[in-house]
Parts: sequence; C-alpha cells; structure tokens
Amino acid sequence: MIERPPNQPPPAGEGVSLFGDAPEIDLSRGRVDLTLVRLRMAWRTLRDGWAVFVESRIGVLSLAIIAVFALMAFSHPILMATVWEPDVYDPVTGYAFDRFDHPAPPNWRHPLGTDSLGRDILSQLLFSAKSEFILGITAALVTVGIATTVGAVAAYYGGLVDSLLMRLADLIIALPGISLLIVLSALFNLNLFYLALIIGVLGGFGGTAIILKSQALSIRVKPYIEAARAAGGSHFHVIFVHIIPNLLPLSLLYMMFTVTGAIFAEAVLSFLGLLDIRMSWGIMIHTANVGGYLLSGANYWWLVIPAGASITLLCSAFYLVGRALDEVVNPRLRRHDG
Amino acid sequence: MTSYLARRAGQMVLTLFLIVTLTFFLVQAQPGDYATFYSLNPDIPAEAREQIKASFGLDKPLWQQYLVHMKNTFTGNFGVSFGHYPRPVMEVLAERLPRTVVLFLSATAVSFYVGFFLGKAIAWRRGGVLEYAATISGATLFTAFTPAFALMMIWIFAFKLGWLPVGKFLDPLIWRGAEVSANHVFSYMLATAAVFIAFAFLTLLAARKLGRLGTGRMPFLVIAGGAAVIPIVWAFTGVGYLALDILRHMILPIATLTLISFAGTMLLTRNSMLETMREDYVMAARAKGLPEKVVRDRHAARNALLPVITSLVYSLIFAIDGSVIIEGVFSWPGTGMTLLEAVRSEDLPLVMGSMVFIGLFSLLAHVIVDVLYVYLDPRIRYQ
Amino acid sequence: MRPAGWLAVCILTLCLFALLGCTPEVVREEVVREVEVVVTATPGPGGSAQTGQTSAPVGQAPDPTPGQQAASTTQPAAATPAPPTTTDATENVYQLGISADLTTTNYWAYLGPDGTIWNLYVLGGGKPVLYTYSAQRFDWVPSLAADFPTALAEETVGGQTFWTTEVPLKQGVKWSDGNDVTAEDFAFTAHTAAELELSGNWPSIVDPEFFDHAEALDPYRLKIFFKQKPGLARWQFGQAFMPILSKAYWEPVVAEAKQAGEIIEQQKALYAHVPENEPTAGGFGFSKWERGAFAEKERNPDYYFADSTVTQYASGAYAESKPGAYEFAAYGAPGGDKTLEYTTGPYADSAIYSIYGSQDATVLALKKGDIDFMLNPLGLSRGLQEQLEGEDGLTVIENPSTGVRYLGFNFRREPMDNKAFRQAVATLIDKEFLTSTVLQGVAIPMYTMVPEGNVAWYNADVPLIGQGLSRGERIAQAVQMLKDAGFTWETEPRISEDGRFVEQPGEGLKMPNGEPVPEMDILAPSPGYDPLRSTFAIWIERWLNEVGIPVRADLTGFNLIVEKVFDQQDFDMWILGWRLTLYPDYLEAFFHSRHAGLEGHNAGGYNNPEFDRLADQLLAETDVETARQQVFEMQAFLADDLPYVVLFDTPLVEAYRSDRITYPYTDSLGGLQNASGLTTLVQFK
Repeated sequence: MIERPPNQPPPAGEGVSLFGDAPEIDLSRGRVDLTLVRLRMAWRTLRDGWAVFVESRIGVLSLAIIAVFALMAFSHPILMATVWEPDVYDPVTGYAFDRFDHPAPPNWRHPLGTDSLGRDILSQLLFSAKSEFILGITAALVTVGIATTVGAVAAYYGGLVDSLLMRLADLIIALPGISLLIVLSALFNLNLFYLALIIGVLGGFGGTAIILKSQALSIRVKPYIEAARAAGGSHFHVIFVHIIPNLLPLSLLYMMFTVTGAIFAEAVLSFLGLLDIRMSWGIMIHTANVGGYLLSGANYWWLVIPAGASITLLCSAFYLVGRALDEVVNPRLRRHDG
Repeated sequence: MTSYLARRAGQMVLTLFLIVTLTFFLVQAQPGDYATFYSLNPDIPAEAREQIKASFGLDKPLWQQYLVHMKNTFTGNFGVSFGHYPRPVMEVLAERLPRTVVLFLSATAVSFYVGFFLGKAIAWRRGGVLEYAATISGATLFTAFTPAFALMMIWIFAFKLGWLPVGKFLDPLIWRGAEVSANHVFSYMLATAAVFIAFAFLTLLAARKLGRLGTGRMPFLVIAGGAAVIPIVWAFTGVGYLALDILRHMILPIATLTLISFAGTMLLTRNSMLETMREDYVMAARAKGLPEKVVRDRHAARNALLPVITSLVYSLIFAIDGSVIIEGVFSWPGTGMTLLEAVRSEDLPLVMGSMVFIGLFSLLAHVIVDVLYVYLDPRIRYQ
Repeated sequence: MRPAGWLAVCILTLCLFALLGCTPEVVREEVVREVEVVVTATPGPGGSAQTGQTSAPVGQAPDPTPGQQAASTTQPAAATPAPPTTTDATENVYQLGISADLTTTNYWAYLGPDGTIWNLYVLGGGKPVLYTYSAQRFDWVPSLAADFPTALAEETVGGQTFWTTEVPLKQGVKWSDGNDVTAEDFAFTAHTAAELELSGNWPSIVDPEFFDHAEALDPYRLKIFFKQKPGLARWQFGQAFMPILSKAYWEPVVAEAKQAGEIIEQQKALYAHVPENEPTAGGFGFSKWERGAFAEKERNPDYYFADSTVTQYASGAYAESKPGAYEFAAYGAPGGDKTLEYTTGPYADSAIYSIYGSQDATVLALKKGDIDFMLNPLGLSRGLQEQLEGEDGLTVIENPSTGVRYLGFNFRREPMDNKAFRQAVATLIDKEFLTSTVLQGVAIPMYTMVPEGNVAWYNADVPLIGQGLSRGERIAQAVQMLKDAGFTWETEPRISEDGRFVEQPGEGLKMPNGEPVPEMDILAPSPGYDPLRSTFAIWIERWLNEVGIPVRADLTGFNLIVEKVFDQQDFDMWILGWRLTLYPDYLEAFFHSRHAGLEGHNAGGYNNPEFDRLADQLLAETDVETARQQVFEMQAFLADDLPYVVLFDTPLVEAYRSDRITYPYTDSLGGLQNASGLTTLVQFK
C-alpha cells in the first residue's frame, strides 16, 4: 500500500547478517569449500554481533536471567528423579504429607512453601519454567518459520502470491488479538500446544511477515541473488539458501518478542481460568486467587510472588534481549557511530 | 486519495465480513451451545427448552443461522442477546462503549505523553542512570502480570491509603439521586474532549498560518485558556459533580494503565530519536551552536514523532483489545467485560457483536494510521 | 491483481471456516432433549458463577418474611432532589455488593429466560406469594394465604374431571397503587403464564400438564383447577410459590403483547417491556437502575407485613402474628423454648446493590466499608475468610450449602454395573481425610444426596460406607468385597505392617467373568475450573490404582465433560456437582430409569426397578409426611446401591459489617445469600 521512496531507509536490519552479505565465491569450486567459507563468515559476523551485543549491559543481564530459567527448567526432571519423591513433589498431584497446614510457609523440606492444595511451590515453579520455555519457543519458532518463509516467498515472487499473502497479513493484524485468544480459549479449552500454535500462526502470517517481507525485498535486489539465478539456481534454492539465511538475524529479533507475548498470553488466559493446562505460572496465580490469597499481601507471599516474578522476569528478559539485538541488527541505533 | 480511501473502505468491509464469519464458526465449533445451560437447569421441561432454542433461533440449520447473523451484522443489528433476552445486542454494546472509550482514550493519551517525554530524555542522554532506570522499570512494568499488578494498585491506593475508590465508575451514594444516567455524562465528557481537541488543533493551525506571530508561548496560552473554560461550562450544566465523581474513579485505572504501557512508546521514541539525531539537519543545528534543549525539542523530537504518532493509534487498539483484562479488575463494565461475560455464558450474539465492535474499532484505527502518515510525512503519497 | 488476491483469500478462508464449523454442530441440533430437569449443575468455583443461569425459585427460600415483598412505587426521579452531597445522616442505606449486573427488571423475563442468580438477589422475593418457606427451618407456611389450602378434591365440571383446591387469602394486603391484592391477581398471573407458554422457570411453577385454570370465588377466596392430581412438587412446592403480579398494571401490557403474532413474538414483547412505576406490595420497591453500576430499591411505607412477628419453637411449632390484623399458628401448639423470633421491618430506607467486577474488588469494598454485605452464590474462599476474620467490624458466618459433588458410574459398562465394585470404590475413597486434612475444611464430606442443612428431608441413617476406617482397613475391606464378588488379581495388593500404606500395589485385576478390568477414565473438572473436584479426582485415581483398579483421572473442561457424559454418554466415571432444590424430587430425575436416554439426567444409565417404584410413588404423593418417609427410604437405598458415590459439599462462608448492621439470625442453609441478604429484617446500629 505504502510506496516507499528510495531515500527512505528500510525499517531495520540492513547492517549485519549472520551469513555475510555477498560472499564472492567462484562457483566452480566444491561445495565443501563453500560451506567452509560460509561457516567462517558466519562465525565472524556472530563474533562481531556479540561484541556489539555485550556492549548493552541490559542485554547481557537479560541473557543471564534466561540462562538461569533454562537451568531451572532442566533441574526439575533431575530433582524429581533423584531427591524428590513423586507423590510429595509432583507439581500437580503431589501432596506434602509431612504437614497439613497448607498453604505452608517456606521450610527446609519445601523451600518456597506449599500451595493451598499441599503441593510444593518450588517444584511447580521449576516444572512450569519448562512449560513456559516449550510454549514460548514453539510459538516463536512457528511465528518465525512461517513469517520468514512468507516474507521471502512474497518478496521473491511478487505479483499474485505477494498480494495474496500481504492481504492475509493485513487481515490478521486487523484482528483484535487478545479478544480473539480469549474467545478461542474460552470456547475450546486450549492446551499449551494449541495455544503456542495459534499465537505462532497469528504472528507468523500477520505483522512479522510484513516486516520480514520488506527486509527480504531489500535482499532480493542484491546482485548475488541475480548471480545465483543466472548460475541456474532453482527458485527453491535461491529462497532457502540465499534469501532466508539473510533474514535470520531479523527473525531472531522477532522470536524474542514472540516469546514474551506467548508467555504473557498464557499467564493471562490461565489466570482467567480459560486454559486446559495442569500447571503453569499463570495457573499458580490462578490457584492462589481462587483460594482467596491474592489480597493477603505479605502474609502468603510465596503463593504469588515466585510465580508473578518469574513471569515478569522471563518476559522482560526476552523483551530486553530483543531490544539489545535490535541494536546489533540495526546499526543506526548503535552508540559508538552516533 | 479518494480512490485509495474507497478501496480501503472496501477492504474494511471484507475484513469485517471475515471477522464475523470467523467468530460465528468458532462459536459454533465449540462443544456445547447456549441451550446446554438450560438443559442442565432446574425445572425446565423439554418443551420449554425447545422453545428457548427456537426463540434464540438455535433450532434452525447452521447455514441459516449464519445467514441471519451475517444479515444482522451488516444491517447494524446484531440480533438479540441470549443473556439479556430480549435486549438487542446493539443496545447492550451502545450502553458499554462510551465507558470503554472514555477510559481508554484518556489512559492512552496520558501513557503516550509520559512515554514520549521519557523516550526523548533517554535518547538524548544515552547510557545515563535515567536510561537504565527507565528501560528496566519500563520493561518490568510492561511485562508485569497485569491482573495481579492492577489488583495490587487497588489494594495500595484504594484500600491501604484510602485515597481513591475501589474500582467502579461511580459512587452509588452520589448517583442515587441523580436525574441523568451515567451514559449521558459520559457522552457529555466525550463531546467536551472532542470540542477541546478541535479547538486546540485549530489554534495550532492558526498559529502556523500566522507565521512568526504565532510562535512562542501564545498558542499554548490560548489553549490553556480554553481548558480553563471547561470547568466553568460544566459548573452550569448541573451535572458537574457527577462528572467529577467519574473522573475520580478514572484516576486509578489510568495510572495503572500508564505504568503498564508507557514503556512501549518510550522505547520507540528513543529509537526514533536516535535515528533522527544522526540526520544532517540535527548536526547542522548543533553546529550552529543552538542550545541543546532547542535542538532536542524543535529539531530532533519533532521529526522523531512521525513513527511514534502512528504507534499511538496502535497502542489505542491494544488498549481497547486489552480492556478485557483490565476492566474486570476495576469493575469497569465496558466492552471488554462484556466480551468476557459473553464468552463465558456462550451468549453467541453478544460474543459476535463485541468482536465486531472491537474489530471495527481496530480497522478504523488502521485507516487512520495510513491517513495520518500522509498528513505527517509529505514524502508518502497514495496511488 | 489485487482484487483477485482478495477474492482468493476470502474464498479460501470461507472454505476453511465452513469445514471447521460444520462438523460437530449439525449433529447436535437434531437431538431432542426430552427429560424433565429438576436441578442445576453446580458451576463450581471459578467457573460460571458470574453467568450462573437461573436458580429455581421453587427451591430457593426467598426472603423468608411471611408475605413476600414487592417493589414499592418507583418514585419519579424528579421527586428526589439531586443533592451533590450524598445521604442525610438519618437515612439507613443497606449496601450490598453483587458481581454481575441485572439483565432485566421485568418479573416475567426474570422467571423466564433471564433467570440469573443476580436477578434473583435483587428482584427475587419481591412479589406476594400464597405460601412460602419459613426462615431457617423451611416449614411450609402461608404468606398471602390466610390459612392452609383445602385438601385436593376430585370434581367434575362440564363433563371434565378436575382436582381442585381452595385457598383463603388475607384481607387488607395492598398494592402500592392503592388496589387490594386479590385472587384475581393470582388467576391473571397464572393464566398469562399458561396462555403465553412462558419459558424458563415458568413451566415448573405453572405446569401446563397439571394447571388448568384458577377462579376467584370472591376477591379473597381462590379456587385452583388441576387437570390431573398434582404431587407435592407441582402444587405445594410448585404453584403455591408462584409470585403474583399486579393485574391492574400488567393487563394492558399482556393484551398488547398478545397482538404480536406468533407465540414466541408474544413472549418477546412481554419480556421486552421495561416496567415503570410497577405497583408493589412488599417491603421495597425498585427505584433506580444505573446499568453496570448499581440498582436501588426503596422502602415501601405501606408494607402490609411490617411489624408482623414470627416465632419458631423447639417443639416444631410455628407462630406468626401482626397486631390488630391476624394470628396464625401451625405444626403444633406454640409454647416452650423459642428457637427464633423476629419482627419484620423493613428497617432500611433503601437497599443499594453495587456491582463489582471481581470477588477481590468486592471483598476490598467490604473491608473498606463501602458495602455491608456481599451476595455471592459460592461464598468466600478460605484465604479471604482468613483475612476477613481478623478484621475489626466484620463478622464471618459459615453455613452448609445446597449443593453436592459426586462421582458417577456408567452402568452400561463393566465393571461399573457391579454393585460390589462400586461399594469397593466407595470404601477406598476416604472423604474425611480429603476434606479435613487435604482440603482443610473447605469441603464437608457427604453420604446422601440430601444436604444435612435441609433438615426436613435429610436422612442421617443412610449406610456410611467406609466411614471411620483407616487406610489399611479400607484396602482390606475393599479387597474382600471384590474377592467375594469374584474379582481376582495376578498380584494382590499388600499392605505394610502398620497398615498405613501399600507396599505392593495390586496388579492384573480380573472381573468375575475372567476378563481383565479395562482401563477406565474418571472425567473431572481441571484445577483451573475447580481445584476441589480435581483434587478428589487425583486422589481417587491414586487410591484405586493402589488396589489394582486401572483408572486415570482425566481433568478437562466443564463443557467437554457435559458433552461426553450427558450428550454422548461415552465415558466410564465422572465427577461433577449439582445445586439442589429443597424439595428432593430430583432423586427421581437423577436415578429413574426413564431418564437414562441420551441427554437425560440419569446419564449413568442407572436402572433398578425397585428404585423406580419408589421414585414413582414420590412423584404422585400429595402428603408431606408420607413423602418424607419415601425420601428417607430412597436415600438409604441409593447410599447402598451407589449409582453415585456422594463426595462432598462446600460450606458457604459469608461476611457482613457487624459494626453497622445486625441480622435476627445468621444460621441458614445456603447462607444469607440464599435469603437474598435479609433486606426486610436487617437492622442498623
């Protein structure tokens, strides 16, 4: 719809790409060499990108937070297999038999106490970390997978394909997303996987596709694309070997935002009691709310604060990593060349 | 431009058509229907249940129901709500819409202003304490668990400190003797806002036309004068105390929404500023030795405003869409609460009606963005 | 290119939606629901309390004042000055919190399609009725009627045989427009409901299969004609509770509605009428509704029952009198210890119902003092209860509720049709441990389908399977029961020496016919919907698995359970709940074999001729005392035969601002919310 005059910069992401821009390679040489060159260039750009990334202290801090949550997610199955008895520590069906004054405050057997149904909060917290990662990453992969393909295909072919996909994207952005998710989950009792899928599909065919397409357009006019076509590369080859790899940095950026959105959506829907999930951070808060502990202030902090803080920390960590990546991908935001 | 708008309108109708279709079939595909509630109900014999189905039109084949809904939607009549039988959906929505619009327009305006102001500041001083503090607290609040956060705000300000009311949009003890309905007052408030914005806009336009004469503080003084007239006019309407009561109930939700959402505008402004600050004219302005504040506000910020202003519209959509989450906590019975209540009771026409209303709103907002773009950025032209 | 793209998108999407939408729905539309329903499904906490459809006016004890209140005249808005300051100090405003808005102020619609619990709270009990339940004890007592009705008599009029009864009415009860409340008003209301075939709760109040017509022999003597002999549920606990609407006000409205064409359009026209200045004969009159914010009822200065005194005695006697007007006594000679005595107000000048969006907001408003009492069908959760108990100026009260949660069996499948198997399952379920230890008193164990608080109908002497046994004893007993019935194991369960846990779980359980017991599912609500029922499901799964019964708890959405259990009957066991009426004829609806068809209420397919006989007897019974004996027998029968393992009920916890108001009593089945907050009895300090 909007015609961009030539002097208008593309939205973002012209600066660095993971696989280097225009590897001037003699195409007659072997495939192995080519791959090696590619890998070496990719490594170099990664290293450069990392150097820019670490300049943003917030980004590094956020990355560390994500790493801590990942550790938590991995620790749950290990703890369950070693020190935690399943009938006590199972996040859904466990029951702390050692005492009956649930919700019990933190004690040495239950470092974060128990919930009103006698289940160990720490176990729930760790278990949910895993679900949140699965949810966030599934949604992000689906979004970016679809959006990158759609963007690349639309930009490469243009014409009918382009206008069809872009009209679809226009349509999806115009949908009221939160309301739609609420209607869907209220009526269908979605589980985690379907939720991830729906968020992914909505994001993938919607806004993210438009952004990635405009980036793909700028790649399509690069000389090496023409070279690849001239050398007899198939459409498929050009799209998947030349265009999509160059879209990946920007895709990575949007993955981060999708993760934030997905985790947040899950928490809100669970809180409203609309999802069919056995345990998550949102369900933990929901349980506290149903039990009437949300208003108790500091008296029952372990029912609300761990789950609430985890949602906020993980969401904002992904969001801030996304922001920091933005500075890597979009050199106009960098400080040193300002 | 006209043909563009016409095409855009055509698209809107199509999109609306798809939203209606999507909602209709979603509602249909879910297990159970509205009549299920009655089948599990006390003392309702089979015939009565069949009759209820018939009066809701649920006894007809699916495609007929679909056609009826489609026709209803495009004739501006969304049918009859099940839960408020036999009240028309349109009437239910018309009753709730002003409340949502008043609250979320104000909240978006406030949060936009705060975000823009902070964004400008942190872009100018990169790496300062302010940047870290604003970014981290902004992102944290942005991702704070909204329902719990909103409840905490109520707990602190309405209960512990007792400064503000616990949700709701009015105080029954003040309103029990009132002769006008709350919706009257809401529409007066909307009208006031519209008149004031038009006045401010015209003043600024006039100031621009007047050239040098119109610069400086003059136009702002005129606008402030206009603002001062508002309470005086309201004092004569006799319902001023009712409007004040509503305003008092709006403070807490607006504050909460602002805290939650200012980060988006702030970070966008920051990025936009950073890009603008690299432009030659900003360098030139600096080189001329103009004061920092002038360069920042007059040269950089004004041009950085372009992408940010479009985001204003998006954040408005987001706010209205997100009203589903906020309204319940603040006992603010607008469109969001209506949607939630409708999906929970499977009040099919009301679900459809609210979705179409919210969808229509977001479509309109998108068109406004495109038109604003043309107005603000002379480089863009529509074919 | 562009229009083509659009068209393609539209067509593709349409096809997709059509595919998505058509599949399940077409089938379900054709099914006819044929079973009469008596009881509501309990939405359960966190579920659809906000939208909880309907409440049986029959079963609910409305405001238990004798003589139901109706709304007083609506004051014209202009009459009340618009003071910028609120209330003058002498005025007593009773402020109540509710969690959803009214959907109508039209009484026809409220008892029709708009039967929400919130409408009931505000509008319910606002009209005169012939008879009502007494406070606390739920005795059947006259209200507008001056005395008990004459016994049903067979009578032939014009070649047609009717069952008739006569009711004397009190004189001097007035509508607020000055007219008397007469037998004509009753006849008008009943005839309108019958002629317009009003839906919702109406058919249970005015049942077209029984009610023929009513005649005013004189203004204060009513005669009702039934087509066939009505049982208790149809007459004494049915039509006798019918709210009476003013003929003078409604006659023109109804006449106009009847012009509207088809019967559905006629109903719609009647339901759509928004009453203005509707005359009332009760303690309060509906005066203002600010949609989404609050509703207000103002005191009726001419309320007939004001200053009437009700006394209940430990002997069971009931006495009621109004100085200079009437005296009434029943159920024995008044005298001896009084269990309850109160004088009707209203003492409040006005009752305001404020609408809050969530339970948390309502509780904060209560703590802050913005409201005096909150009306909530689910009561307060334990966390909130704990918080409010420590609060100055607030009093927390706890009452049994009128619900039941149960585990149901599908009798169409093995081994659920085996009585020994069901009894073994019941033995293994330690309700006391779950309710008191795991759930810490937020639930009360139950053994029969009538809650204990329903004093008149509750049978305390049903078999209490497994009560008081330790875990080891339970397992031993269940194993023995199964063995006696011919069940065998590959590996029998072994209990530890102290009898506290199972050392070796049972494996390879085989049915008496030698086939292995199949894997079974227990459908139960997910923790997000109701943590209590899902906790029960999880523990039952564990206990049954210990002895080798292969079950799995399938925690899922409410709608899905309803569809599988009631619409498709494709399940093994399920856990749900019912909200119950006071008169327990629901026992027939749940367990009579005639209701076992698809979408019937006997979803488990329970079929026992002996029980069917008892249930049929109850339906036909017209004497309260005999019906009581029958209900006792049915309860004992069911507690042994176990089509349901009755699990638990939740107590109803409420709180009110005792620094501002007092109630004459607070012990009442279903809590004070079940009496709509006692608006005519509440007094101010």
